Amino acid sequence: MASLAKTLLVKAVTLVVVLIGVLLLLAVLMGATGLSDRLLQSILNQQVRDYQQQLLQQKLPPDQIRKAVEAYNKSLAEQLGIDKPWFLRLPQLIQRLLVLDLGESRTLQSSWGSRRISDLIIDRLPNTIILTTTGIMFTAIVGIWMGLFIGSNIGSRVDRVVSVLSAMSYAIPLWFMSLVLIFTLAYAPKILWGVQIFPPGGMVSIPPPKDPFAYVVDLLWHLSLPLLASFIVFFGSWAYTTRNIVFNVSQEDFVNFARAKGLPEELVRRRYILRPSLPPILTSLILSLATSISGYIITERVFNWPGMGSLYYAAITALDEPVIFALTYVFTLVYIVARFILEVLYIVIDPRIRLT
Amino acid sequence: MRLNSILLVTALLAVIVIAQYTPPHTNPGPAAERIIGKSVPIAQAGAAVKAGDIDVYIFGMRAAQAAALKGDPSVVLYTAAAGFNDIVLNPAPANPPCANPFSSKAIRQAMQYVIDRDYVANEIFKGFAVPMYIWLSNYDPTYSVVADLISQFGFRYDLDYARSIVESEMPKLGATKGADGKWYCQGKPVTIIGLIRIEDERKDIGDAFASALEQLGFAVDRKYVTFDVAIQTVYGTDPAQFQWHFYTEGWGKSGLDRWDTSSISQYCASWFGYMPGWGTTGWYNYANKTIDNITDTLYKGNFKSFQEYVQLYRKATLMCVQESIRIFVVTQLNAYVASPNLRGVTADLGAGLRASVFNARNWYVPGRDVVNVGHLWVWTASSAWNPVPQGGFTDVYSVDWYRMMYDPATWNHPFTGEPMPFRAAYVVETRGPDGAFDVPADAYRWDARQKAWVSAGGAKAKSKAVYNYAKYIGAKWHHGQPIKLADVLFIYAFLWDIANDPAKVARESGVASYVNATMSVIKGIRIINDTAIEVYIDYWHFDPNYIAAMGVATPDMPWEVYYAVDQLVYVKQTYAASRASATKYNVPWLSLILRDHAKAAADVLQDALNAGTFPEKWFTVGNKVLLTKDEALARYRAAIDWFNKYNHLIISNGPFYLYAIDTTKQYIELRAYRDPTYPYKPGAFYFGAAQPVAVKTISIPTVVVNQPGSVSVSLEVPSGAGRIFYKWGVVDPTTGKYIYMSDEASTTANTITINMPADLTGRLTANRAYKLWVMAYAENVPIVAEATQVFVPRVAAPTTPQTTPSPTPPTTPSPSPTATPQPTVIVTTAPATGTTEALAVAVVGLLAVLGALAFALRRRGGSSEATKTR
Repeated sequence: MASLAKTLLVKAVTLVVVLIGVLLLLAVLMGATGLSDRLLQSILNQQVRDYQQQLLQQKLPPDQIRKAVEAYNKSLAEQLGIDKPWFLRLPQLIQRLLVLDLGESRTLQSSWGSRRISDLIIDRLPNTIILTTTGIMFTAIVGIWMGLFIGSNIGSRVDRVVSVLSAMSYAIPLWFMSLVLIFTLAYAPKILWGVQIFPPGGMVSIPPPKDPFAYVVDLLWHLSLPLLASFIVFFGSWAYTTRNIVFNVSQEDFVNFARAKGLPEELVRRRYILRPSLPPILTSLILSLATSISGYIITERVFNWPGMGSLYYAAITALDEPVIFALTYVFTLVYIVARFILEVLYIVIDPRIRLT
Repeated sequence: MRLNSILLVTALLAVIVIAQYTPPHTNPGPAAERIIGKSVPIAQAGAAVKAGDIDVYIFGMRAAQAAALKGDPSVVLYTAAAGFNDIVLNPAPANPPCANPFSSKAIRQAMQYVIDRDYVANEIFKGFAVPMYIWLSNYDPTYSVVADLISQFGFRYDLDYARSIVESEMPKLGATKGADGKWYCQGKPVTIIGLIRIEDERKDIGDAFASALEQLGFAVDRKYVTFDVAIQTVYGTDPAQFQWHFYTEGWGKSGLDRWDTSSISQYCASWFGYMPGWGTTGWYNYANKTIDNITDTLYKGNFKSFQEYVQLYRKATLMCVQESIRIFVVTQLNAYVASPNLRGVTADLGAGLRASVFNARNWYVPGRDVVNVGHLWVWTASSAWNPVPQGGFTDVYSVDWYRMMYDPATWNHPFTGEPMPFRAAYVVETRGPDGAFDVPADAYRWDARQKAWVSAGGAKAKSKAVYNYAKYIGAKWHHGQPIKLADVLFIYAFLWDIANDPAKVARESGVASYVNATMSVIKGIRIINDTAIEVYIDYWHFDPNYIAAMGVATPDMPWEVYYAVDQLVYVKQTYAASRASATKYNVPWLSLILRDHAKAAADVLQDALNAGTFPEKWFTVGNKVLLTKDEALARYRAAIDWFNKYNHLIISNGPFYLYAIDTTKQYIELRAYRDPTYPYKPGAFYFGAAQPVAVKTISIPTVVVNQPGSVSVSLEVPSGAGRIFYKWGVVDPTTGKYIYMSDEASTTANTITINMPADLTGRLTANRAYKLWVMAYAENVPIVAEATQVFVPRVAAPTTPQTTPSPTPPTTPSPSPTATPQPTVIVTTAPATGTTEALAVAVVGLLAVLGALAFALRRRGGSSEATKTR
């Protein structure tokens, strides 16, 4: 057990170092390259010019305008934080994040008016879980099941069909598939036949149904097209990856040895093929679920789905650095927690890994 | 205009009913029962309208997006001038001089001939743009003041002419031309650094300009840049460092302005801070003293008459074009897509369908009680709904929705840009630019230090306006409480207070500066009766509507909401009115649609209600008390009830009230306000789409040298256009110079008769071609129409007495340098695209998938057998 604890401790420390490294890397990328200052300065310039233009339209005396613009410039520079150099500005953010204080956004607000970043996440995360996490879970389960099946039937018709489809689906970006489905399954039937098969976007109808049951049904109806898009795009890769893993394991000597021993094929499959295949499959599944909370930036916009991807996008466009850092931190944190869980799971499920 | 005379401005609305509008009913309030707004990505807007998912999309589409819908009979496109593109040149002198060709005024002028504006408008912008030569296009009302000047410049795409200027000027700068046809400066190629923005059509414009420069013999270093790099390089470096020589600028347009004074200053004057050098101390700064002086006079309104305004504007325009620091290229037209079934559309020439107080109230779809409106967003992080000027309602989304819910006191005409009465009537009286009224002792102003109304007697003001709020007072706010003069006076006091109370100025300095611009010219307010006030305004303009607009206050929210905002922002300081202060003081940016914020405001009112107090001094003006305690407490209760019912505190007085908004799901619902006291019914403020005057034919009989001649110009004049103003001139095509230019005249007829005097025809040479140029515009739609017609004067026969000249056959006017304006509604009939294309792509894709599957299943056995053997 001491060995297990030591192994896990080393893994944990490594992952925490990775977490800090990611944040530092982000800070250096944004700060040392001048990206942060340049973008902030551009935002400052643009907003000051807009403000000046509004004053000009008021036909204020030029001296008054100049003073007002100078005051606004100073105030906005303080607001944006560019009165301080990046190496003072950004490490403060990191320090705060490391003690799990997500802090407050610079501009973004939650739907009820809070600037706390934890509230921003609470506002959006459930929507992303409904869309992205559900989509990945659903697609992965069906894909893995299919992969397990065809992995044991390599060369069959089903295998060949899935192989072709997976290659195609892998090549199609999700946002593009989403657009195609919206135009063909949502708008086209409505335009051509006046029938609304799928809604073109949004989480619920507008105005939303008041009855809770009707609301849930309506939500599921709005979820159907994004789920379909997600399924089409990701199903193939899940199935094909699982197929290959299962196929490779089935080529291992210990499998041949089990068969040579005359063990029943069902037992060989379950114990000698499926169980050793699980770690890489679980790795993909858990990491996909972990990363799913970051949402899909473009797809969420295409479906008008207010999730974490949209939040990230809004933070980037507003250059709300506290939010960008906090989200990066949260995503990385979830990722390394998932990695740590995987390390434990490997020990539990992979028969080839034994503690000494 | 006679000074010291009373200028009466009619309170009746000069509605130009250009298109027919049949109201769906005659009840008070809007035409539709509900407006449902939602967010629709711009790529889906056309399909959403065609599918009936939305009836109108109020976010302007760019040319590339709108072009796909051009020709689709199932949609209507409304266009409006949205912004413009120019190329700004760096005029800083270089050492040696030949290193920067744009330091030469003549070479800068030559650049006017280098850019093919028609190509940019028709090809790059796919017809969703019109050429422009100065900061105004013919969509701008003030353009009529200088249209003839622009025509006389004769700007056109003429690379050979530009080359001739360059070849004459470059040697003067010390450059030499090599055998390879390139320009060299002290042995090095003359290299022009072009900063070309890549995010939009400016990339193509920049490339076209760069290619033309290369053809003239310059080496061009094309730097393709994004917003941040461009801003930093152009506006963040000294022009004398020559980090750039030209930059593809883009500008958004604000609303129409009938008599422009700020644009000309912005794009021509150095003092404004928008010319190279940008007013930064220590840098090279472009300046032209004469332009600066003239624009300063214009901007400050120091002209003494309309005639002087016109004269100064024309002089500054002429000089600015001669300087050619900016090469103006095109005015972009944004397209707004709508269903053909949507009725009641007013297409504002400046704002299109968005930011409109005219549209939602008249929109309806026959047979339906709801109008579905799409917008890019319903709400963004930059949307703050609070009534503090320059604090809230600063982004397009909050503004667009809010303008459907309140009635302004005055507003700019959608076609002329001239201020006009909306829900308040006014009468303006002025003593002129040099005169002044004595403000009487019974006029008052709010003293921010004493926190009381004090007598304004003894002050002076150039003008005064009587505003009658009778259409507000007597009607009710959305929460059912009667609108009172107290609401109007409270807003004046609030504005004076936040602009002058030192603590409030410090808290919201940006807001204070902005508000002070207006409040500093208001010298006092005299209450005339229960509905009218007389406001003394120390401001003069030859157009009295501008004076009225300067002094008016719009009661857009009841006083108790302003009171709650004042308490939260300035007294408790738990919220900020502006974004800048929100971050500076680390408090939320107040938005009364957000539950927590609205609750905080409602709590303020609840506390006041519990304490039984109200800000009595704010309603005590002289010996008049405008509000009783009972009335105040009733207001508190009504506003709190409103919050409890709707979870927001947006209470107003317009045709719709805010029923629901969901910022996360990007949804908003407005419902009709049908209170019988509401003064307007469907059809009020309906303007339709602007139809400009068009020149149909120019009929020139034989013109005889030394004899007077007569020309007939036939116009197509839409109904309700008002008087037609016109001007004409004669051009010598060989020199491009004008031999004659008439004064502006006006008519009410559809045909203009131009009489050429004998002294003009005496200056013409017989049997030589000349061009007659005609410009016309309507009083109520001042979009300029121009046309030219070639004619050849004849010599008089010595023995033949003068006879009536025989008319020449009418011909279609040839296009002039300024394009004839297009109607703002485009309805075309080509087959539908967009969804069909998507379907076709999907079908092809499906076939490809099936083909691949068939191929995969073609071989039987094979590898499967091999696997099975294992």
